[in-house]
Amino acid sequence: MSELPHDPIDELLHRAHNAADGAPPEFMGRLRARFAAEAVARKRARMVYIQSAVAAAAVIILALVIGLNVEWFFPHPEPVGQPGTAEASDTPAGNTPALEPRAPDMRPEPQPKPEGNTAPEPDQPEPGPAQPDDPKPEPKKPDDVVDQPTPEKPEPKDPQPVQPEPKQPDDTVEKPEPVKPTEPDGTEVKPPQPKTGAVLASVIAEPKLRIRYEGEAWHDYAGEELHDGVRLSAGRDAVSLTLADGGLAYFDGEVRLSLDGEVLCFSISTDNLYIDNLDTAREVKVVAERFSAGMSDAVAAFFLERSEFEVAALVGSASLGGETIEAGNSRRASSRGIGNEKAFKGDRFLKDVPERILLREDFDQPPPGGMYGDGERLEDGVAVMDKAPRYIAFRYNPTLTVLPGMVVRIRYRTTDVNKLELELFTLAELKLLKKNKETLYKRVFSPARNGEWQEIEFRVDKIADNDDPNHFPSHGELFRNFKLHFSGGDKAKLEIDTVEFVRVQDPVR
Amino acid sequence: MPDDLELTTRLARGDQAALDVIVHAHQDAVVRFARSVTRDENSALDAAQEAFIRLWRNPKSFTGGSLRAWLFTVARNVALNEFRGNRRRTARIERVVEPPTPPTADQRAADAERLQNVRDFIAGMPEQERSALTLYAAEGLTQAEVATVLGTSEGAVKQAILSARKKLRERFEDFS
Repeated sequence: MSELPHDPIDELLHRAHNAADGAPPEFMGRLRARFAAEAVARKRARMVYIQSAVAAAAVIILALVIGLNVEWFFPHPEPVGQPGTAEASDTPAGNTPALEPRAPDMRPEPQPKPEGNTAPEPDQPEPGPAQPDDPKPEPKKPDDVVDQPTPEKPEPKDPQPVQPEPKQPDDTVEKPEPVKPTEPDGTEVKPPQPKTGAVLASVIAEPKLRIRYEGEAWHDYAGEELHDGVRLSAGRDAVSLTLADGGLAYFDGEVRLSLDGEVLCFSISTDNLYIDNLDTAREVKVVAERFSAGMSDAVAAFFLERSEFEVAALVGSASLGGETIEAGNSRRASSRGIGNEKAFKGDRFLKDVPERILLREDFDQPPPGGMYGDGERLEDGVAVMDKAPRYIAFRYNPTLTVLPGMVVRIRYRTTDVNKLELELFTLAELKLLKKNKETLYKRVFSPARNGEWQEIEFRVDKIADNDDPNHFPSHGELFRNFKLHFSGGDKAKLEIDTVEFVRVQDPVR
Repeated sequence: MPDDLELTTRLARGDQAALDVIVHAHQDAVVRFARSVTRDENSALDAAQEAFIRLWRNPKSFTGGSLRAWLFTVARNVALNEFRGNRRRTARIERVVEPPTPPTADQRAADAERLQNVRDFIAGMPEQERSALTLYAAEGLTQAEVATVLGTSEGAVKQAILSARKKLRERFEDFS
């Protein structure tokens, strides 16, 4: 078939396609790492194969040797003359006489101890020398890359798999992120005893708070990390914690934090607790007296008063003693059992629940997902753009999940700007043979004034779909980037100090 | 520069230098093409990486022709299969956005934005059209090679290219 005639529009596509970035600089490095890892895996597989083959050969040899020598250990007491058993008759008559001279030496012990103890000794030397020989032919195939030491590391682990305590490893819980919100304030930290193990939470804003571990006396909180088994006692004000997986807890009274397997466990002895573990993949259990409640990917509140334990699901669902509680409802448990699910009427405690910070970009450094790199620059912790294409945009990494009560807050300054367009793009699933559903949520607004720092915030669930004014972001959608366009005069300039996405708890009525 | 078959033959003999040459020569094109298929940076990098890995694992599976086209084929198959097999994987799709007031001050930046818009527009096309036009117009493959990469007929490739061109021309009619 003849080639299509040249079309000038191809040139535009050609330029556009080739103007896009090629492989990132780290591509080659990652590829090499994969080659290395694969090479090691291959080598290891070959080694396992060879070792298995050697072992199999050794077993066969061993079996043969035992077979040959069995006569030594179990000599036939009646050589020819007694045709008693079938086995006796199977043994070739010609062989037995030859072995007979040795047999008498072994005779006293063999019956109680079968071949097990004695046989391996003569055989062991055989598989031994075979092993070093076999790997030798291998190296000729493998690639140079194999040398990389890293993938080899898992091996030394194998010999000590039992070491980890039943307590559970740290790595699942210990995330660097949650530690960030803690602002140590430069307070002198003097931990009474250094704790090890998973960091379960960090305290936000450090109000009056006392802590202790088992066997310790209560002492004032001084900015230390909170580990498994910590007890916290709030002062006059309720205390908020950023959980190790990014969730939020808020409590007054006293709580104990621990890990029960993979489950984060709060034990409360009085008062109130609020937990938001939406989108954190960390199950939470709350124990109060003899009752136990659970929640996963939800927001719930727990109230313990005079031996009555109330659990209210605010977003998602919770459970109390195996009974489910849907959002907006609550159940009570007492000595009379677990009550019916009822509409939750709210509680004063929930009035002051703090915001949960979901994402905060302060432009001190390039965002983890990167700026768009279309000419914007970062200057002293401010993203600045004063030329085409007249927007400041960055990608989230990881993506940002839309949660109920989500608010976007921007601190910015404009010069000669009359219009701003906030664009939030979602991730869309790629559907083969179908038009891809992609969504742009857009909010157009004007700066209140030029030349001054100002802050603006929008409820994310009120930012409409650019194509459908009745469609709004919903829980679980994934945002992939932030883009703020601006338009105005020739000297138009946009500066952004911070972009924050937070979740606020709507009051319950 | 040694030809593709010679390089893969060397690779089959364990010559890592040949692999470096291949990766350097094709990585940008393969990543760009994978990106146009997946419209997702991470998935594109994964698919491109997988194409090179598969070549390294089995260099003899390339039996001649254009190695770049071979890599495109593998990367595309990997990308599409991955999307097919893993529903949780999502693609980043940038919709076509009306450009904010066209600036005049900085022509280069404006041009960059325009090209970005073209890429965005292409990204919104059906995969077959998108890949056909990209491979043909941007990567310089022949119709036959494009057909091989896409696993379809030359006729279908031609149709896809014409259709994609038409859309592109309609959208960017001011292109001169």
